[in-house]
Amino acid sequence: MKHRSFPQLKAALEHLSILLEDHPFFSVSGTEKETAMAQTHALLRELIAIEGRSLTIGLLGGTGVGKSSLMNALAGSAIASTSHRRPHTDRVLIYRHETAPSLPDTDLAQIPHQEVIHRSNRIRDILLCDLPDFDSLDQAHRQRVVGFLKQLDLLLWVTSPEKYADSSLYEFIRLTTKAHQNFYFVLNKADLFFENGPPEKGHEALAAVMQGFSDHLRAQGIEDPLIYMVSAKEAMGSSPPSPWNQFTPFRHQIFQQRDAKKITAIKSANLNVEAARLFSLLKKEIRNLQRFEALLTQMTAELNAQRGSWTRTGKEAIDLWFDRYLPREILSHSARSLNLIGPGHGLGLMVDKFGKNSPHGRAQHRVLSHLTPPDDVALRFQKALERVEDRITGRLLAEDLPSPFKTRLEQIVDARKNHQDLGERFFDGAALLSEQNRPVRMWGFKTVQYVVYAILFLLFLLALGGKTGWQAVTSDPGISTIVGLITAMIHTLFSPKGLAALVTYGILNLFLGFRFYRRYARALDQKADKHIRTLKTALLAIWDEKLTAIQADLNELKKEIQSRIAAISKIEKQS
Amino acid sequence: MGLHPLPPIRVPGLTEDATQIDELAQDVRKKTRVYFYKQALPCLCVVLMGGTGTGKSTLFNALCGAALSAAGMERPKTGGPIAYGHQDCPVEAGFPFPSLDVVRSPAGAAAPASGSPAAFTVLTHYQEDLSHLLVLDTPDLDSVAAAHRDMARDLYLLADALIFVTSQEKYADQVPHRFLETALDEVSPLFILFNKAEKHITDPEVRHMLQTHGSRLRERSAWVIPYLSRPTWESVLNAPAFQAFKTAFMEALSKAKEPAIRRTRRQKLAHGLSRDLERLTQRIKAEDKAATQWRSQLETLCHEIGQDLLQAEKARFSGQSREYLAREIRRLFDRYDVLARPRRILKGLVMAPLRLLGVKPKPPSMSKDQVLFNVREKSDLSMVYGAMERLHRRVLEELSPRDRTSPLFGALREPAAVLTHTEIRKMIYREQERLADWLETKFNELARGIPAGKKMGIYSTSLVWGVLIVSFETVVGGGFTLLDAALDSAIAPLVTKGAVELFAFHEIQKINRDLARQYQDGLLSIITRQCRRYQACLNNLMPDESTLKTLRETRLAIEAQK
Repeated sequence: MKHRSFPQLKAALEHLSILLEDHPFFSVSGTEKETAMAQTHALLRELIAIEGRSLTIGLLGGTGVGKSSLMNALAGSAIASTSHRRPHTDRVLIYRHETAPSLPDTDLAQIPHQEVIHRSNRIRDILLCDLPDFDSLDQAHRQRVVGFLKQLDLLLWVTSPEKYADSSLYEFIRLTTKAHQNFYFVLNKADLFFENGPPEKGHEALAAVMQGFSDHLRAQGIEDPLIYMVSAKEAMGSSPPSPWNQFTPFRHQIFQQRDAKKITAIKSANLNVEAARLFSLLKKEIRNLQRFEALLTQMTAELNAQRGSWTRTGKEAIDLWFDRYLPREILSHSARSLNLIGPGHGLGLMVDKFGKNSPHGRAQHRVLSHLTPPDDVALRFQKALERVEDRITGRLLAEDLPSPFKTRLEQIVDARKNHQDLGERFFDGAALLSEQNRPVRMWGFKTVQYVVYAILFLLFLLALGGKTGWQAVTSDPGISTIVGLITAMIHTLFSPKGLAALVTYGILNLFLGFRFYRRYARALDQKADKHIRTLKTALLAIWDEKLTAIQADLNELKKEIQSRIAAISKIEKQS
Repeated sequence: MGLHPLPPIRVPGLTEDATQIDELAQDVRKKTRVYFYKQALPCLCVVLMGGTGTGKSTLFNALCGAALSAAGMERPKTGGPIAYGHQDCPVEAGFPFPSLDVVRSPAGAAAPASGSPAAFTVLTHYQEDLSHLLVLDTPDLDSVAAAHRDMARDLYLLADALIFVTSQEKYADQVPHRFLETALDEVSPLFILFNKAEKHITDPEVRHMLQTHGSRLRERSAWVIPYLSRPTWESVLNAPAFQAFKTAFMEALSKAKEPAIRRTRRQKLAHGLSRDLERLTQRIKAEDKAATQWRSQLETLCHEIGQDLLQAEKARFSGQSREYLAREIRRLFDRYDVLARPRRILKGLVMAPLRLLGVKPKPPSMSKDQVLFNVREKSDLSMVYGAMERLHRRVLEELSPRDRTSPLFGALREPAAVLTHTEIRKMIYREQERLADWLETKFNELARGIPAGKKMGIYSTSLVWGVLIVSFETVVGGGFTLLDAALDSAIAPLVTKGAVELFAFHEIQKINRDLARQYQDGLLSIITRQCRRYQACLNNLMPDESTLKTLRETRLAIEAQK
């Protein structure tokens, strides 16, 4: 854990609060995030408020280690009762000088407490809190005491030669989120070492216990524990303290004059420890994000490998769609007589009317209504999309990433949503192409028809007029000759020769009409084929695009994750 | 004892209590060993227990009358059990704690022992008055070292009688206190020594102190040993309070009372043990029940996915148009040159005499391998892959335990739990091959039935083979519902009514039906295979058959001796 100075901690906490507010956090659930946010804000508030506050010192120890006598020794007068039976085992006793302000009530609401007002000027600037014996506390109570520790800046862990190896002491140290440099360890009743036998023996025992105690503390991760071997009993007595009694340096350490900066450092060091848990959230988030990123990379690669099968599924489905639901005739037989004139037009009308195909209007309508894939075709698209979803979700579940990741990923691979979106795209794409397939007027083809029919009619007229009639008109153009030609034509028309010409003309017309109809029909067929091909290609492109879009979304998510990792790492390094 | 030791217990971790099974089993193992050890041990175990710094070792020395266990200020002082027993007491026989070696040495031969965490130090003596006792000094109950705490608890199991040592500093401590609470119910005689008491502390006061902390001391009292500034074992021994205690102690644990004490203790042990065994059995049974339920859920899920796959495959081809089928059939029969019928008849006429001479008609021109190749080209496995992926997702979603430490959680996420695409493909190909073989056999049977004498012989066998191939492709392509259509399309446009009879239309129909059914079964068999993989994940984690049996036998053996 890093030691952050006051401004560093403040900056880090502010960053964390922004990070928590502005972005999704995947590793924690919604409520956990709320809690983390509230904690961050609370810490920030506390951090801002610590400037200018006085120090609070807590005494923690097991039953019978002599906390009260130590307290009295510190105060220099008997402010605490030293009975071997505790009067209030579950209360915090707060020793406050009559002139000092008391702790704010809001901070004390959680725990039963009792204020003891004293007049000992030696400890005027300091609030001393005597906490309940931690080794006799039940679980619920212990939690409340741990909660109260928040109010304390320096912790004096008091123990005795009998108790310094109790597991309860070390368990409680583990429960405490405070900076270790704010811990002082006091081994009270050091006089026990010297009361029997020669002083050398006592010193030996004292050194051995000191060693053992600091070893136990180191095992708890407290690197350089500050241990004082004291005897409060002796310090309270009238005789001068023995050389081994470290009470005087201890008292000096506790009551030294501290300037505001030092106090701030002590307090922020404690908050630092509390903040560490919040910052560990970031580490967890980074780890999860990295795993997620790796998964995304793998998934996009896998989707790429699946592209062949994807296209094939799409092609099969689209072929089926057209083969079964969009017969070519619907397109090719629309507007059959539009560009035909004369006999061809008549033929077209007749085919339209008596042929097996439905009228064009309805045909066109049907085409449009079938641009949404029919159920069995849609099912195949849907299955392919579901497969992508199942695959990716399955991998995520196997990786066991927190559920917010799944929610985020489902936004991209949700088969139902994708399928709906696909349907709309198909509809739009195909409708656009249908617009382009509107029947066009083929003016060239029409002109050819007009010219051919005109030439045929001219020939018919030539045949009716006869050689002499035409010669007369051309050599001597005038009203009389033209009238002569017309009467000759009418005359011939009703003769057998004229009848033969009429029949020939009719047959030729019919023949030409049929030819034109055939040509036109073929052209329409080709056009329809081409149109279907374009449609199929377009639809397949839309289908392929869907996979590309999913991949692109995944890639984008990956980029988002990467930038998120970068942002969090930056703050994590700072903090 | 002819009892099997309890094997390691595996559980899949489906129930919430599963995490405790292993711990409980270890406990049961230990207790069973202790039970049978004590059964054989001819002496009573007296165990001294208490918190750190209560003066256990000093009291132990005083009780035994020699400086045996090292006492001192450093904590923890006693690092391993130290026992004081008669030379003839067979401490080693069947010693129940494998982590401790029994080390014997004569008492008083060396400096006071501190004990070692790996040894059960037995200091032997020849005192006849103590020959029926094995007195044990133990590490601290609430020591900072976890190994010491555990060891103290293990040694407690040996106790026929308990001396619980507490002191003025310690009487209110939670850990030793809670321990005393349990011991009060389990061990008798039990002596409470209140050591290091200051002068003003009197017997009723001690009782009051302990009672305010919840001890149900009943009529039992504590022996108050006064605080001594120089607490050597001799000075303790000479203290009148200790003398009184020792008298009471020797009285309560006299040789005459030994059998009764042993019997009560054995009954208590047996009772506790059989309760633990029962609890363990219950938990394992609960796992077993959960596993049965899990299996049936898996079964349902697999069935559902299987039906879904069949539906999807059906839907995939029911959409296929008859035109498509007709096209396929035409393409197929073009290969047989069916339209060159006259040529074939001519060839048939030429071949007829040869056939009469015993020359068999040529087998159909399309080989089985070729057919399989065509089918593989056509079959789309993505549906099957999709179904498997869905199955895996649903299993992880619905059947995986929530607790990530549960063994099944990990097992289901092992890569080996899932069939790979290659495996699936192989299985499908094998299935197709099997179907093709089967079809070939069927065809050969059918071909034998077609009258060889007719001119249509060769032609018709080819045609039958063609029809069968079309249906094969239709089936394997997934279109089992289109079979009738396939049959009609294959036969109706090409042959006359009479020829249909010739082709044994009904037989072909039946073959096709069988084919479709077999293919469906084949698809389902792949899902079943995957299902079995998941089951194997569970089954590999299920307790051995013998586990419950061993538990029951152990329980019976213990109850029989009670």
